[in-house]
Amino acid sequence: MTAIIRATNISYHYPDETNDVIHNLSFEIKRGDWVAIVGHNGSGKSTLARAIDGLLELDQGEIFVNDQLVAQENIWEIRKQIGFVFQNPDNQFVGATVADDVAFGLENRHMPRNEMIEKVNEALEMVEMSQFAEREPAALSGGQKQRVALAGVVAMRPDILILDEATSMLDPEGRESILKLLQQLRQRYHLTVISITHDIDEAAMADEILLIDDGRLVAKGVPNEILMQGDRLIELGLDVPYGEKIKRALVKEDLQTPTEYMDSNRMVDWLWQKLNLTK
Amino acid sequence: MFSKVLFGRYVPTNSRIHQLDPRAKLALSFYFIIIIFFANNWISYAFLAVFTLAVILGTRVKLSFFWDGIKPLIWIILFTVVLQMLFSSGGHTYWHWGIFTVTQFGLINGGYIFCRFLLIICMSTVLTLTTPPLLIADAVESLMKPLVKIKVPVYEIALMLSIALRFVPTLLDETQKIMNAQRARGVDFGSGSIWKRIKSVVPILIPLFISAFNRADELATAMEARGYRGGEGRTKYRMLKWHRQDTLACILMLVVTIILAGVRHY
Repeated sequence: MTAIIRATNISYHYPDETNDVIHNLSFEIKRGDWVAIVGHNGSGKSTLARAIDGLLELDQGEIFVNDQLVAQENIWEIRKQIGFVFQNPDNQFVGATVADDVAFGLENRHMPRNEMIEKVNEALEMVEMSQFAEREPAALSGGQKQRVALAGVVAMRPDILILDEATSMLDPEGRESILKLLQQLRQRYHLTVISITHDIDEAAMADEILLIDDGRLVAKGVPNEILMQGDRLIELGLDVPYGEKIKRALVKEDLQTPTEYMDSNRMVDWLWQKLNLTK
Repeated sequence: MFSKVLFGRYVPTNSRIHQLDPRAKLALSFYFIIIIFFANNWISYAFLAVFTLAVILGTRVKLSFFWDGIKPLIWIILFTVVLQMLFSSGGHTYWHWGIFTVTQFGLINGGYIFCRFLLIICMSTVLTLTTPPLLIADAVESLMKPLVKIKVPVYEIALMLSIALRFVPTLLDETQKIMNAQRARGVDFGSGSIWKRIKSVVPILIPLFISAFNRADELATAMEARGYRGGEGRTKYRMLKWHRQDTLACILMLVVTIILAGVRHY
């Protein structure tokens, strides 16, 4: 499959800092993939997401989105292809009602009103928020707010969806429902998803993981490969998946465990088998 | 504690006044406030008061909501009325002490000022009780549109107004959280001298401002990411519609003006 995003030797440092936040990074993201960019707080993953959307100017290197160079001249063309959902839903709402907020991006694109109403209704229906169209965003729960933020982005029909820790402020139930919704949206609109996260369970849902540490790409691979490197994850200030934690505890007790990565469900199945129990 | 703030006082009763176009309501409220100053005798004030009362009853909103609008301003009204009564001259002098004089004209002017305040507050309360803040913002934008020709950034002003309205509940919530955090550490906001109470507000304002600036920064980034590059050429999702009833309301106001002009000469 072709690459939808290509970054070559990109570096960036904030004006009031001397060290690079991202340093000489190169990677490719394939069209239609779900890619998790994982790293601890301050590792440069959010800066990387902003660089892809042209929200900051790089010191060095180039990023191509759909084979177009991200540069000041075509920044609005690039942004049409990218939908961005931020961490704090409260700080990304512009509209005074849910429907107004979903329409904000479409208004910026000078879309005729009739078409806009159709798109807003469809997007709200897709995220199951139609009944809240006239509510104030402040009256919604965290999960509902992120659904509205997703509707605002999806209404603009982007090719790429960037989620900058979009589930980190939600309770487990809200998080799960947003992740489920994302899977549906991805399938329906053939989206390429870039999820910036330090949540390992969320990263496990991706097709590919990019591990970032101090602005450098330290590992890249499918979740099974990356997530079974427990020691490395701990070294990088990250959590270890639940299944791997159990595996590590068993290994400590000199028990033989499979070498491949096991998520919590597979671990439970394996334990049942090992204990000669039937479900 | 923040439930009684001005914004969000909208009370939906679906009365005829609620159904009017916000542009009509905003323009007519302003117009009415201006013509109040043309009333010059008790008959004209009585006429305007009857009209205002009819409008108030027409909103089908409980009268206590209007009293809530007057209550916070009652001391300013009384202070102005008393000043007017003590320092106006003309007509029969009832009482005199040093620089203070209570005269016939002073009493009449004091009464007029009291009526003006009351009518202005009641009519602006009608506007805020019957129109959601968002629609008031839309009406402001629509009525200011001609100013685009003399390069007034009308769209930006309207967006600022709409964002400000949108952030009122968020910032109130934030203030409540900051106050609770400080209460938990022993700050007492409700007692002590006025000076002490004012001083206790400073530790709320500083974190509130820092958080508001951070929010503004993040919001600007989010707006840019969603393709916002100034108001020019943006289409509008929310459209205001002018109906026959809005024209009728304007005609009614014209009739009120004509009657007022008539009763001025009594």
